[in-house]
Parts: sequence; C-alpha cells; structure tokens
Amino acid sequence: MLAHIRSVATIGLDAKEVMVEVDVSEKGFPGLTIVGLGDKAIGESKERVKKAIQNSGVSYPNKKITVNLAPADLPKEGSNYDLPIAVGIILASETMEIDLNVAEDSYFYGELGLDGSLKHSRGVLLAAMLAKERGVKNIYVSVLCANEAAVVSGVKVYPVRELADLLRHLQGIVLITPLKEIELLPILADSEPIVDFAEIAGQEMAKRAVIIGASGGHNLILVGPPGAGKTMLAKALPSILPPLLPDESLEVTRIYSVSGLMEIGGALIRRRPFRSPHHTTSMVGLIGGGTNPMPGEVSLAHLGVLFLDEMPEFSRSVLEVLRQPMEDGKVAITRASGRVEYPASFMLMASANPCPCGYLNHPSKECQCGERNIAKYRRRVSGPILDRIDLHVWVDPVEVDKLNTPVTNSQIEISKDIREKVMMARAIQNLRFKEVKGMYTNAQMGNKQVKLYCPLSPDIRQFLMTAAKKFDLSARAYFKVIKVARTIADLAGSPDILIVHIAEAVQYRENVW
Amino acid sequence: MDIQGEFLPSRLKKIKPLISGLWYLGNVSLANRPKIVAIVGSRRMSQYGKQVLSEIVPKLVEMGYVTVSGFMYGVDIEMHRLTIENGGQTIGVFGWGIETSIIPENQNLYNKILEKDGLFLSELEPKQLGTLWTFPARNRIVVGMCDLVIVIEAGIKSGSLNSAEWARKMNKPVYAVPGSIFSKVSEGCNWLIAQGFAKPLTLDFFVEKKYSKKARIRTHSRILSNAESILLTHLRLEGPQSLNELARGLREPVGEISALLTSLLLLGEVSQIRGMWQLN
Repeated sequence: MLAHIRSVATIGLDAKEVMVEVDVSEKGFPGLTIVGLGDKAIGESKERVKKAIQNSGVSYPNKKITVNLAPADLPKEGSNYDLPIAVGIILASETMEIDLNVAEDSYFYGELGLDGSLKHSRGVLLAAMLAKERGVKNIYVSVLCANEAAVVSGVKVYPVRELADLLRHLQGIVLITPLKEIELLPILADSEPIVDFAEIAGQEMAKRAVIIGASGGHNLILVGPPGAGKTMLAKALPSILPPLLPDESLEVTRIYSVSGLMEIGGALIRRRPFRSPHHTTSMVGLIGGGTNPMPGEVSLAHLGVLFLDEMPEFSRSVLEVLRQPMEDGKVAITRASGRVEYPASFMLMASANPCPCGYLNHPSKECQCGERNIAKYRRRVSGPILDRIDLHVWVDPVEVDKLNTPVTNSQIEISKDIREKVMMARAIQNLRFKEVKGMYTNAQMGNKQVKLYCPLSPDIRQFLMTAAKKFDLSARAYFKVIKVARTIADLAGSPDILIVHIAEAVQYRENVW
Repeated sequence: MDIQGEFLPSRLKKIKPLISGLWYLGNVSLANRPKIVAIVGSRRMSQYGKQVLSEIVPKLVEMGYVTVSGFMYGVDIEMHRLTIENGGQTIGVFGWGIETSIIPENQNLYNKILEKDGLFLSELEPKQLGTLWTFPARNRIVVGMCDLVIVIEAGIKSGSLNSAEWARKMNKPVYAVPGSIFSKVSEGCNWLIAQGFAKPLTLDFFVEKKYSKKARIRTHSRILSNAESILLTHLRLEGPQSLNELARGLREPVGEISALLTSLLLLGEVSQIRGMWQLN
C-alpha cells in the first residue's frame, strides 16, 4: 500500500511543502529505505521511527518499506520528517483502521523520541504559515512548540504529546483538542525592564542621545572611560523601544523559530530583540551561515538593537561584514545549493573606550597611551561603519559629588513615559513614510528622501551652512545632521525643522574620536 | 644639499663638539634668525602635554620665535604642527639622514613645513637610519642653535633630559613644564625643576612685553537671546563645566542646552576643550 503524508521543509525563512510517500510492500527483503536526498538526521530517522512505533504499542511491519521525500532533487535535512514517516508507515501497512483521507488536509511535522514522544522542533511557525498559504487546514506538531503555530489564523493546530495519542486521534477514539488561535495584539512587554532609565544617574546628554536614537532608529556610539555607564545605557534602551507591530512580530518570530530559539511553549515574540554578541564572536556567528545556514546575530537583531560593546575589540574583518546589512537591511548567505536571504534591519549601538587604557580626556586620571597607540586604536573601527553611525556621544565619567546638585523630581524620567514619547515620534514617521515601502524611520532616509521630506527654510539653511563650515562637516555628516534634526523635531512635535533642532543635532556629530 | 665647515650658519658653528658638515633642505637662513626656541619632550606625549603645547606655541609664534625640535612623534611633531598652524616657521633636526623616508602620517606636515619656508637639518649620511646614538648627537644641535629650551614632558630617563643636559653644558636657559606627580611623563620635568636645572614654565612667562592683548571690547554679531545670556552668565560664575553639569545646574533639558551651546560656539562666545565648555 502507498500512503501520502504532507510535511514541510524550511529553507532559510521560507517553507516548502514536502510530500512523504510511504510504500509498504509484501514482496522484497524486509527493511526501511529512505530516498530523497536526506541528510544524516533523516538517515537516522529509521531507528527512531521503528522504536517509536513499537513503543506506542503498534506492531512494526516486517515488510519492505520504501519512503520517498518528494521533490527528490531538493536536499532534505533535519529530524522533523520522523512524524510523517511514522504516520505514513502505519497508514500504508493498514495495521490500523484509519481513513486515508484524514491525512490529506494536514501537515505532520516533528521529531520522535524512541518512546514515541514528540520533541521540540524548529520552524513550526513557518510550517503553519505555509499551511495557511496553501489552504491546508490542519497541522500536527509537538505540544512543546504548538503555541508558535497558534498565531496563524485559519489553521487548526493539534498539539501532540506522543505518537500513541496521535494514532488514537486519527482513529477517532480519543480526539486531540486543537489550540485556540492566539491574537496578534501589540501587547507591551510584561516583565520589568532590565534597567530603567530613571536608574541611571546623571548622563543627561547620553540619555538624550539614546532617546533620539530609539525614536528615529539612528545608529549610536557611546565613547567614554570604563565605568562611565555605557553598558548600563545600552541595557536601558530596550525599555524605551516601542513594541513590535503585529507584522513585525511575525517576522521576528519566524527568525527565532528557524534558529530554534523559541522558548518551549512560546508563541510570539513581542518585544524588540536586543542582541549583545561578545567581541570574540566569529563572522559566521555575526552574519549567519554554517552548513545549515542559520541566522546570525544581525538577523536575530532584526527590527531590534544590535549592541557591540567595546567595538574596537571586535576583529576588523568581522566588523566589515556589517556593512552589507547596514546598507541593505538584509544578508545573503550563499551555499552550494543556493542562496538564502535573511532580513537584518537593526539599530546599531556601539560602545568604545577613547583609547587603549580608557582614560583619555578623563578629568582626574591621566592617559598613558601616547598619540600613536591612540591613532592605531581608533583605526580599529573602520571608517565606513563609523560613517553609518548618526549619533556620536561622549559619556562622562560621572563624578559622585557633582551629582549632589538637587534635581527636581520633574526631571527624572522613567522608561515608561519615555517610551510613550518615542512611540509618538515613531507614529509621525510611519505617517511620513506611508508611501515608501520598507521605510519606517528617519534614519533610513537616503539623501534623496532627506531633500524631499526635510525641506529647510533659507535662514535655517544658512545656519546649517555656517555650522558645516565651522565644524568642517563632510557631505555625509551634513545629511546626518538633518536626519537627526528631523527626529529631534518629531520628538518636539514640530512639523518643521527649526534652528534649535539643527543646533542640537550638530552636537552629535562625529567628534568624540 | 650639504654645507661644510666655514659655511655653516653662525649659530651652528659655535656648537661643541663641532659639526663638521651637515645636510639641509629648505630655507637655511632660518637658522640665523634672532629668536629661536627649542621645544622638546616625550615621544609619549599625554593629553596634558598636548594641551600645554596648544597654549604656548601660538604665543611663542606671536612673540616672533622660530621653533626647533627633533621631528620625532610625540611632543616634537605636535609642536612643529602647531607652529605651522599658527603661521610660524619651524626647524626640524633629524636623528636620521635627510633623505631617509619619513612615516606617511607625517608626510603632510613635512610638506607644509617646507611650504612655509621651514628647514630640515641632519648631520648624518643622507640615507642613514636613526639609532640609539644618533639622537643625543642630534639633541646637541637642537639645543645648540636656540636661545632657550622648553621641556614639555619627560620621563625619568628620557632623551629630553639629555637635551636638558646639553642645555646646561651650553649655558642655555631651560624651562620645564611642571606636571602631575601621577604622570610618568612629568617625572623628568618635575625632577629638573626640583634640582634647579630648569625654571618652572608658567603662563605668566607670556604676559610680559610684546604679547599685545587684543582689545577686549566684545562685539556680538547679533543680540544674544535671554537663554544664551543666562548660560554665559552661568559659565562666568561657575567656571568651565561639562554639558551635563550645565543642564543640571540650569535645570533645563539637555537638548536645549546643546542647541544653545552650538549657537554660542558659532558666535565665538564659548569654546570646548576636553568636554569642558568655557567662555572665550
């Protein structure tokens, strides 16, 4: 007998349908053969499936079993074909009273343990999304990751604990209740932020820069001595970022699902990602890749923040690979069997010491480095990366006695309130770029858009020219100032850019190094 | 080009041990100018040293001095650079041959010095490289041709102290810049002063005579806004401070203070050094 079970292959962030054909034949030497360009995990499927079936109280057919994973020329990988193969074998051997049609409108996707239990799988969300796309009504996946699929409307998600349960369900003896659909509401992150803005003492300018960065999506670098609070500021950033919109949420969850980073029972990622890779991270770790190309840190930071702490400590070649995603908002990973593209549109935040010892310009400690070493150290951060950073901020080593200046309560802002302002500014930008596909923030504007969306009156242009001359701004820096000024104006609720906005924006130019 | 024996400029002829001959490039008459100051210091110049140089070199240039030093990275290069930047002329005496190639980073400065009628000298063969022994010999030339020596920074066993020693032998006045007792590169200077080998250099060195104070009438190019005036008054009363301190002290949002400072900077009312804002 021949059974057809439908399943899913994930390639990058896309999913393709795979037909698992199972033939159980009387003739021929008993054994299980799997064809269809499967990898080692699929080869090992044989052992798992056999035991899982036997340990579920079903007799394993002592016949010649042939399994084909179609299309035959698409390389298959992973352990998620265990379930469809097992179901296929049982149906094709006709050992149970199961209507073959029951499997027609469903996807089966999951890894089996020797005891028949279903293990956690990667990419369940993608499988569910494919089901919706192709009009497949049901999907059977492990209970450990079924919630991921529950956010997809129009698809019945059956959470399966073990193979025996599934078989009882398919026979109609004991039915599994499908999950209720989870709604895609942009709910704010439930848990407390790691660091609240109000916890950071002093650092008014740096805080202001982080707020501007969060509002307009501007890349930001904090330069200052050790202990000044750069890492703390970075940790506070997520607390003021607006939550993901429903579509953005899905995008991010897909990436995490494929990477196998979804929590057990996790459904949807609603909080903006915040990735802080260590400076020993390899190129593949940062950009993605590997034999089974997995998303790298830049993609895990998609629609969120990538924080490079101590940027000069990263290897130069590793930093260079950041250029493409920072320019295009995505990375292309080429492997032997084709190209995979992962989105990587993130806000970059970096921190650095001003010199190797860290005490350059320190008010009380002397820097021992010497001009040559300082120049060498600065060159470790490549010009093109620095060029794409709009906000350059010096972080003061906070001196405790200076903090005793009484500060009125109205001046201390908590993250919650700041986030509201950031969200308002973002709303203005969403409106502004309504017609432009893929553009959500001021930072993304190119020179053309700057000219279009940021018109300047003659006296403001005059002021800007004076400043450009005095501070020797490059053409690139000139446009950066306008973009930052546009965000400052948005935060102030001003439809036009005024001189005071330009005047402030100029302070964030590249002059801390 | 090279000169030998009697054709040496008079200042250089007097140097003992005698210079038998040397190579030069540029304006050789510079070596005979009436006011020459040697500025020497550590290769590991600190921010403090840099700051001191940025204060005194313009003043020395304005007083009509030609500067001379060893064209070594650190204090030497910085002072050559500042001299040119402030419209002065400078002499570089190499501890290597006149044709030995220089570090690419210094190429620009090298060209500018020659453009401004500067001078380069070397006692060694044209393509000879610098070694441990060529530098003390060069130091004697730097010190020998000047009227006074200023040591900006020096480590406890440094080449700059060697220059100070030459100055003592040749009876040239030596000034040393006192520095932080925590700074390794101020140890030499502080020692020179403590031993009486050098006088401490303070800013009132420059207050006397020909340093004409520019008229202190402040003409604003436009009327200052209320907020701008308040900020200036605050700086006058409280002294130099960082942007964060200003924001705290004035109880205003830091963004607004940033904007005010930009405007005042463009008007020339304030300047910023090492993150501290101050009145001009």
